[in-house]
Order: sequence, then C-alpha cells, then structure tokens
Amino acid sequence: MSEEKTYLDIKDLEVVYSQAKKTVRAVNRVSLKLVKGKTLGLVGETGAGKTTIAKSIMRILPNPQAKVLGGQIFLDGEDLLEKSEDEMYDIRGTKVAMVFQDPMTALNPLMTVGDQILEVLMLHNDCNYKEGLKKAGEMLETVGIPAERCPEYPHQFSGGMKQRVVIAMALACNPELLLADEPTTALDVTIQAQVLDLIKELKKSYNTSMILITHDLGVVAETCDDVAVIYAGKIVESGSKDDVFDRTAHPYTLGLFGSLPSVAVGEKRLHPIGGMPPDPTNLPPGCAFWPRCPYATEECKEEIKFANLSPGHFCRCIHSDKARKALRRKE
Amino acid sequence: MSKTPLIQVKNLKMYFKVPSGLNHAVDDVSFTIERGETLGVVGESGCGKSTLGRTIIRLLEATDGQVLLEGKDITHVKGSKLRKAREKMQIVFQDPYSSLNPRLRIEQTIMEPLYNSNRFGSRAAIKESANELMELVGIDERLRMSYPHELDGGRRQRVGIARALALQPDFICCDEPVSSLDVSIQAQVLNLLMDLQEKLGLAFMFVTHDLSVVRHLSNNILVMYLGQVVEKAPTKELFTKQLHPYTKALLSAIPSVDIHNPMQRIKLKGEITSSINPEPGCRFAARCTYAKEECKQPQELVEDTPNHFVACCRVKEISGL
Amino acid sequence: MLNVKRENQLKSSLVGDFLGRLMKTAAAKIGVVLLVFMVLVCFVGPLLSPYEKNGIDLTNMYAKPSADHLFGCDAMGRDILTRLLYGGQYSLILGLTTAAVSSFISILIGCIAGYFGGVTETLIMRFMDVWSALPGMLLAIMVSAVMGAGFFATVFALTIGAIAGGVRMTRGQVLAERKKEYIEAAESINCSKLSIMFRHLLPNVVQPMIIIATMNIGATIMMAAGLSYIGLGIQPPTPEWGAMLADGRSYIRLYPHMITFPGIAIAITVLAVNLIGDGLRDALDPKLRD
Repeated sequence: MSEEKTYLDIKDLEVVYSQAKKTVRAVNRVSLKLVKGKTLGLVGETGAGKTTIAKSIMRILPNPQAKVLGGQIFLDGEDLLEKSEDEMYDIRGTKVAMVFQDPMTALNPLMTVGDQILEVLMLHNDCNYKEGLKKAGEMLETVGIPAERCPEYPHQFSGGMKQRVVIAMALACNPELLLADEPTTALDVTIQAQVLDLIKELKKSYNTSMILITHDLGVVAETCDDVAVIYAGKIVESGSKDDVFDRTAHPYTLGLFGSLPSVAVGEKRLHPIGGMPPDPTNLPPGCAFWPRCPYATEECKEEIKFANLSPGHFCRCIHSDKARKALRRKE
Repeated sequence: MSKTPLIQVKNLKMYFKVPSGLNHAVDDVSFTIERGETLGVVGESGCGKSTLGRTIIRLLEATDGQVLLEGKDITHVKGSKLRKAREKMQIVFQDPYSSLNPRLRIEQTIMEPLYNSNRFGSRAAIKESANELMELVGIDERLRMSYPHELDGGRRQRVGIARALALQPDFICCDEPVSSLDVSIQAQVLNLLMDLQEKLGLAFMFVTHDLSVVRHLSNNILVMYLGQVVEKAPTKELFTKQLHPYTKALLSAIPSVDIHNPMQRIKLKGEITSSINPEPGCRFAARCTYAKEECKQPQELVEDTPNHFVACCRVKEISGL
Repeated sequence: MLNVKRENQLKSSLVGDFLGRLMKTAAAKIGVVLLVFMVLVCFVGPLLSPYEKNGIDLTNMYAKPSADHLFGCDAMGRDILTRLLYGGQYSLILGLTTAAVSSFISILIGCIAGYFGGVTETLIMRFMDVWSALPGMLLAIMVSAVMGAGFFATVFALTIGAIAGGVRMTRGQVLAERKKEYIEAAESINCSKLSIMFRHLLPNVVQPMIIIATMNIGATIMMAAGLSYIGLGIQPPTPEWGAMLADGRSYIRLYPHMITFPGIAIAITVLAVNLIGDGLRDALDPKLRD
C-alpha cells in the first residue's frame, strides 16, 4: 500500500472557457494523482469542471473556446500538454480512452457497431481488415454482446447495450487509462448495475487505471478506490475511499452526503445544501463554497491551501475540524 | 363513515397504436389516493409510469378502465366538465428546460392558468396572486420578470411548481420532478414539495425511478414493469419486505453509499424488453431467475399481507427458498 | 445567476438579445449596411434628382453615362439613375411585402396542419404537395397572366409561388415543438387550442421561417424582375429593374450601360438581403448561443 506507481499526475491544471465577453474558470489549479491499476472517482455537480479535466487529458477541449492556461498532465512520466497533435493522435485510443456520458449520441448512427470498433482497431493497431473484424467480434463478446451482432446498427440496440458497445470501443486497444464520464447516468438502475459490474470486471482483467466521473456517491462507493471531490473547478477533498466516506472532512462533501435521501431515513425533511451553485463567471473570492457553508468565517474569503489531514487524505478547508465535530455530535 | 377517496383508478388501460402493433403502455392498473396522501410510482424505462400520470390528469384519454375524481367518473369527459376536472389535477414535469415556454417571462407563465380560469378576477388581482405563488415556492423577487433561459434548473422547476399550484388543485402528478436536477438542489426541491403538501393539503402521485427519494415522500408505493403493476404496498412495508423478484432486484441495484455493507446484488439477465404486442403473462419472466411455465399465465394482483399486493404466482415458493 | 440587474433584464429581452447577436457576424454587418444604403438611396435619392421618373427626352436617347446623366439614358432619353432609384422603391417594397404576406400565410397554415394533425393535416399537406409540383416561377406567370398587371397582382402572383415551401417548413417545426412539455403544460392549465397555437407554438416555430423569408426576399426581387422582363408584372412606363433589363437586352453591345446598372442594382440588393439572412440564421441558432 506504500510506494505504488503514480501513473497519472496532474499538476496545477488551469482551464478557462471564453464565451462572448465572459470567462468561465472551469478548472482552477487542480492537482490529482492516480495510481496504476486503481480507480479514482471524481465527484462533483454540473459545471464543477470534471468533464473539462477529462477532456484536457485527452486534449479534446473545444478550440478556440477552451484554453489551457497552465499546469502539466504527466502520463507515465510524459507531459501530455507538451505533446504535438500527431503524438496525441497515437496516444488517444491506445494509451488513453474515454467513455462518454450519453450512449445515444456517442455512436455514429450510420455505421454498424462492428465497423465502429473496427475503426478504432485499424487506426491504432495497424491490423488488417480481417484480423480487425475478428477482434471486434471478440470485444463485443467481452462486453456481453454476441459477436453475431457486429453488422447491426446502433438503433437496434438498447441504451444499456449501446453503452457496452462504447465500452468495447474504448477498451479495444487495451488502453492503460480509461476515462469514464458519467457512464451510467443515462441508464436505468438495473442496467446501470450490469454496466458497473462489467466495468469492474474488465478493469480487473485488463488492469486498467480508471478515472470515473460521476455525481452519484453510491457509484463511487461501489467502484472506486480513491475519491476526489471537485467544487467550482477546485478539488476540495481527496483521499482513499475510506478516508472520504468514513472520515469526511470538507463541509461540501459532508453536505453532499447529508442531502442524500437514504441518509435521512426516518426523518421528515431532507437536509439539502443551502443556496445555489456558484456562477462560474463570477466565483466568490477564496473558497468558492463559503456562501453556502454553515461554518464559513471571514478567513474563508482568502485563498485556502490544500491541507494534509492524514497520509493521502487532503482537504481544502480551515474549518474541517469544526465540521467533523458537528457531524459526530449529530450521530 | 367512509370518505370518497380523492382519486380512484380502476382497471386503467392505455394502449397506443404503433407501426409494429399495439403498445400496452398501461395495462390494468388500479389504486386509490386519499386527500393529502402521496402515492409513489416506481419503475424503469417503458414501465408506463409517466403515461399513467398523464392519463389520470386527462392529458391522454384512457383506452379502457375508469378514473374517478372525488367519486365522479372523468375518464371520458369533455368540454367544461373536463376543464373543471383539470383545475383540480395538475402536473409538474421532469425537464425544467422544456417544460417552460422560452418566450414567456416566468411571471406570465404563472399568470396564464389564472387567466384561463374565471375565478381569479381582474388583471391586478391575478398579478398579485402570481406574486404570492412565486413567494410560496421561493423565487426571489428580483427574478420574477426573467425568462426561463436565465434561470438554473432548480429555479425553473420551482416555476413549474408555482404554475401547477396556480389553479389550487387537490392533486398534483409529479413526473420525476427532481431527476434532472443536481444532487444538492434535489433535496431543496423535495423539501419544498413536502412543505407545500403539508401547507395546502395536496395529494401527490410521485413518479420516479429513484427508490430512495420515493421512500421519503410516499405513503404507498406502486412498482411497475412494462405497463403492469407488479407490487403495491405501504412504503414502510415495501422497504421491509419485498415480495416480487423485480422489486427485490430494483432495490438491490441501487448503489449504496455504505461502503462497509455493500448491497447483495441480485443480477438480472438480459435487457428491458418492450410492451409492444406483449405475450400474456408476467412481462418480467424473461429476466426473472425464478421464472417457470406458470408465469406465462396472466398474473393477478393478490393481497399477501394486509394492504401488500403482489402479482406473482410463485411468491410463496420464492419466499420459502 | 443571482446578479440579475435591471439593465440586464432589459437587454435580455429576446429582441434586444437577438439584434445584438445579429450584428456580430461581419457578413450581417455588411448586409445591413448595404441594405440601409439601398433603402436610403432609393427613397431619398429621387427627391434629389432633377429628373422625372418618366421624363422623356428624345434628344438624349441612349446617351452614354456623363456628368449630366450619371448612368446614362435609355431608349426614350429617360435618366437611368433616376428610374433605377424609383424602380428600387418598387422592388424593395415588392420583395418585403411578398415575403411578409407569404410568410404570414404559410406560418398560419403550417401551424394549423402541424397542431391539429389527423385529417386536417393530411388534406393540407397533400394539397401543398400538388401546389409545389408546379415551379414557383411558372405559377407566378400563370397567375400574373390571369390577374393582369400591376403591383397588387404581382404581389399576389409571387406570394402564391412561395407558400407551399413555407407550409412544409413550419409544419415540420410544429411537429417537433408540439412534443415539448410546455405545450402539454399549457393543455393541463386549460389553455384553449387557439391560445396554445398562437401564444405557445407560433412564437417558438417562427424563427426558421424568418430566415427563409429573408432569403426569399432576394429570390422574390429576381422573380419580379423576371415577370416584368417577359412583360407581366409591373407595366411600363413604371420603372422596374427587370423591365429595365428587358429594355436594354437588345443593346448589350452598343449601349451596355442600359443593362449593366439595373443588373448591378439587383445584385447588390439580393446580396445584402442574403447576407442578412445568413446573419439571422446564426443569430437565431440556439446552439451558437454562448
């Protein structure tokens, strides 16, 4: 459990979007580490910056709206932000692959499912058509779809199966890092369970490192080893799953757990986080969460540093002790 | 002294003609909702829960069966009778983005139902009522002349709720009202709904796929699969003991945040099929681990324990396993 | 989201928002400038001209462009520039009126077809199918020949040709919009069918039609010119760009000024209108919104 190899190391990533005359600070100096073979859950709400981070790793941010202002993304020792487009072309698909949120739109409706997997294989693996077709069939089998369905079109598959096809495409070239952006949000609960199980199995057999982006803490609990919580473009808490779930430190994370209906069983009202998500073009100074935080003081309007609470467990809050004490009193 | 229930649904059927045949979207559903109560309706895609809601409030006209409002049959009423019935039954939609007319300011959206009814007096009185409604649902005064695209999802949903309250209904069908919202906002809107229910004595039909949410709000729960009711029980009862294999699977499928007690997941094989031209019998049989020949027979909703109904011919054997 | 000030409220009224976005593209700016220029010139210009629009001056027949007559004279010695400006008034008004009238009618019919569906829709759409089987220009010619000449007859003829496409476009939009939840909501709060159609549906389907209508102005001006070219539509001696082209037809080699200037006038106007149409499309496209 000690010196495991850091496979992905993001340092001080800063990404902005320019819209009309406004600037959205989507990612504000985010630093993350991912150990080889492990799964990191990136938790946050809409607009927190999670997808932007994933797209930055893949270098598929919309151009010219999005700009990387600074930072480094080290993948196995090499800075992805320094790579040329040609080099990234080789990396995408083979070293890093992405599964997107909406299976309905992630597949080309005019190409057969087999052809779409084949395309990935032929672009990155230099295999010929026949070998590729065979491999495509094998990939479908791996995700639980009969290989005979290769010549079918996406509209002939259900939502859950489409997502499996997307996963098959992502894993076709056996990438070392898989970025899954809310892979099961659009799916029914029983189908979500199947797809999550599939992801877990595949991850084990291929030893893929994974970043799982989600807003669902239950999904994180089931699939992730480590967790990073992101709010308004900044990581507010990160650590192992046990750290973040059992020894929750940041008031926002505490608020997220507290607002779950399953937590308020037996009580009449739920405990939402008060206030509204911040306007990304006009973030509050210092800790972006202070307008909604029950423990906020004047000092919160200053820049807050990432404090190390215990080995591997970090929190960006000067009042985390107060917050945790309050929680313990409630229990 | 028996009070007439607010809503009574008897053997309701809603079938749609589709190119490939007939879609049995809602198939023989019956239940009652008393004043001030909430019925939770849970199920996944294609189970018919949204269609059920719309049929009850008469956005759709049932193919068969009855819907009774305060004892009166409104299943096929038209004209002014329909308008009167509609004033008592309203709906809050799932998508806060497409449920508001993008060209109307939110104040206009809320004033519109008041105009349509002739119970609310002059324009000035209507404006006043609209403002009261917006205050009731917690919309800041500064935002009352905004257009929908200027507001976030949570606020838009509050506008939808205010619109539904305008005609002072007794019953509101909430069709996945928080599924499209961020987690931290969901709890706010749910609290609002619960407060309004208490304040105004509203009855709700709460349609959702999220069992944890429905546990909080509902008195009774209806579990649907592909148009059929598979289980019906009071909330506490359902969460203590699930009888139908689908309900069990549904509950076990929800990822739990308790990392020390992971849920024993019941794995379902296959995909959700469809309710178009269905075979007679249980529509869940294709995915059920306990399915046998007798499941091909039409299943009846049978009372197992008081008020706890299940549509499964093998329920006694399964619980014995 | 919490800082919505008064000015923001006014600015974000949909019209203000729309105009702001229209003027963003370079193309639209050029188009607007050109069109404003043409309009000013055609409506103010004639007041400054020393010549009559029908002032025949037989001493100056076919006169080449000179200091006295900047664009030269036509077969009857009439000043081409002056006639061009007067003719511009007709063309512009013709184009705009036809676009407005045909859009209005097509949107109305399209909405009715799309919203009511069933037999009504089928009847209307099949009728439109037959209607659009005839080319617009041919229809215009037929109607013009029957109705006779003159301004209103021409507007009528041109409108008839433009309706079928507009109806189909609007109906398509209505079908898509009809499924949205705010329409269901309007029904649930007891809005009448008419109220739903005019207050909810129509304002939300009108956008693509505006673009199409604007693009059509150019085509309409050309069709009007075409009609007068073959002797229908606006009748002589009323100046009209197409008629002026017809007059100069036989003299292309000898007196090119007679045909060049009307041709350029038509080209500039149609270009301006099309550029504005492009800009409109971008301005109204919700996906291109921030």
